[in-house]
Amino acid sequence: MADVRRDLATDEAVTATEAVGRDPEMVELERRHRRFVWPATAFFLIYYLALNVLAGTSPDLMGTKLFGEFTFGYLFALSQFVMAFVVAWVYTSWAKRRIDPLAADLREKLQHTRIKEAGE
Amino acid sequence: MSDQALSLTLFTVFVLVTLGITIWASRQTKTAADFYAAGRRIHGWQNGVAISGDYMSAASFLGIAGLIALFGYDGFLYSVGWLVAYLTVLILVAELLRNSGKYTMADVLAFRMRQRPVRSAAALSTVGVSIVYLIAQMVGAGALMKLLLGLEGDTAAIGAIVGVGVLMIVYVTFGGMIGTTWVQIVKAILLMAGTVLLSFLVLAKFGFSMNKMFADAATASGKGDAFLAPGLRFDSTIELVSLGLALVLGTAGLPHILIRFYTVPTAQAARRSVNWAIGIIGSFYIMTTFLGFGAAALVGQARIREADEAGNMAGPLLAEVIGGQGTFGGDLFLAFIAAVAFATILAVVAGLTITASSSFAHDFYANVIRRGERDEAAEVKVARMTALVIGAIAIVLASFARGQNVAFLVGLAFAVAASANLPTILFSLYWKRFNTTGAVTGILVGLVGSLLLVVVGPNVMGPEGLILTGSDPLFPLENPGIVSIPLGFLAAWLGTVLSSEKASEERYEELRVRALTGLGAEEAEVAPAKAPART
Repeated sequence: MADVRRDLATDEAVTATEAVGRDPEMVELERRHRRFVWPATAFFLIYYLALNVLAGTSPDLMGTKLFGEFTFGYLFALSQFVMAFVVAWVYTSWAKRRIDPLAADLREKLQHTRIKEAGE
Repeated sequence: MSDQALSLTLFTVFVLVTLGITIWASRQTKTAADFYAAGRRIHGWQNGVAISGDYMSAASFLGIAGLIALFGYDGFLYSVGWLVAYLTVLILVAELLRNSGKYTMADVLAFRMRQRPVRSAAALSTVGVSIVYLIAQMVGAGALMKLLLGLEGDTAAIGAIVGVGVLMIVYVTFGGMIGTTWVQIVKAILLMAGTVLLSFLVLAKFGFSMNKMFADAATASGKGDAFLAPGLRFDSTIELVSLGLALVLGTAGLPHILIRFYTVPTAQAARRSVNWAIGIIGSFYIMTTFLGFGAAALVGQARIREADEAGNMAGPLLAEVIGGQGTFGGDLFLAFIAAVAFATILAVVAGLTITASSSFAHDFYANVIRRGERDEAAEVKVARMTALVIGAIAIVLASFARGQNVAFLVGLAFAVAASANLPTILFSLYWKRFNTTGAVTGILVGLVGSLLLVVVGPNVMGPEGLILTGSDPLFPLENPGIVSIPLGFLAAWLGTVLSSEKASEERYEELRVRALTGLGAEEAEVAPAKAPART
């Protein structure tokens, strides 16, 4: 860590941030973030594109009336709204639980480092 | 007093009251003045409402209703795509962007790249996306004026576009800078109120039975059950996927939406504002069902096409029919809904114009031409000039694009945004090796590629298009997304790996720490623009 600081000694803020970049907590934060956002993105993109693919390939299926005048296609389109609300809710509660406390911890820790360095 | 004169008078009154409220509201709020500059004190929910105001444009209100009224089910696909797009914003972009940028979209790129090239490229694409988006708004405004004034013929249509376009640009450039955010908020409330009211009255007409509404719409359309299934507007799967990709990925590349996240104090507030936007925008798009199918059943396609070939007037005409065509109630409701549409367009024009002109003034003029030397008066002057020039270009292009559906036109702006901006934003935030060459080639290839494919596509070229109507279009798809978006990503990647430039990995790591923890994010506001380590 000391080497890193010497390399970038021109700017304390950069130095301190750089140090945190290798911090195990930062590595953990990165890992958690990556493991959630990419699978979540893949999920909603696939679910969403399925609507347009089905609209193109199977108009008959999409036009099948499930009850009354409500077609499968319209209900599938409506389910996209529900999906978006649910994914947004899941993401938000996940971020509150798994990201925010860790990010706050790290921020705290770094601010201390920076104050200490400024005092040296 | 004739119907026309009465509608027009009422419309004018509504518009003046709206502008009055906007000006009054903006004077009540001291923070509005520094909203764009340094506020970052906007509450999450306020920002959510403002994002909704920025986002729900003539395309959403006039365009989608028209597409559903004319083509049934296919029109609703726009509503779905434009909502799901907010998941891309929420999960991948909003919070990280909030923590790592300052004023414009280019800030995130400039953080770890060489300033001058990336700022120039980003300013260019911001202006490009905004112009395409503006064209659609002008087309919508022109159709609206044509309906209210009872104009007929091409010259009158062009006149309406020029007249209303000039009016809007003048308002934005000289009067509306401070009030812009309040235009968004007032407009979002008006639009939601108008849409809820209209939807309720439509449902009431059908005895609150959606079944009856669908059945009547299908019958009135003359297409029967096909009206409730896909295929009347789009018959190619590739076209549908291309459109879908543009819609779902475009929002996260729209500069005027992205800069909204700089107005809130924390990443958590950015997250909250997207959630508010998802709630508001989602409810609105679900209600486009009632506007569109209601208009198909109650107004009828013949009348809708007569007012505007592309269906853009379906919503206002629906209001007239609901209020009672030829009665005072009908005139009043038409005037009210037309004023809501006008406020909608004005708010979006304001947001787009200010974003594009401030990006040009801040990213290009101040940072590239003046090399960061501060001269606020000159910067504001450049921003105003840019607003006028962008407005003029949009007006000219809009008079060619009239007769196109507004939602379709905005779909093109989304394709440009997803191709030019999204690859660079995502690589900047997530890819360690990404460098200046990659950023610049990604933006330029995505921008030029998507615009070019539209120009050689069926809407501009070939029998259905504007030029070379004798030959076939060189590119078969209306929306270029499926080709131009991967092209943008590919160019950004190739530019990076082929150049000998070494990425500044220290800066990347600092960006990641800052983006994920918010550490140093506040300082980003006052710290001098520091060039990244040269390599």
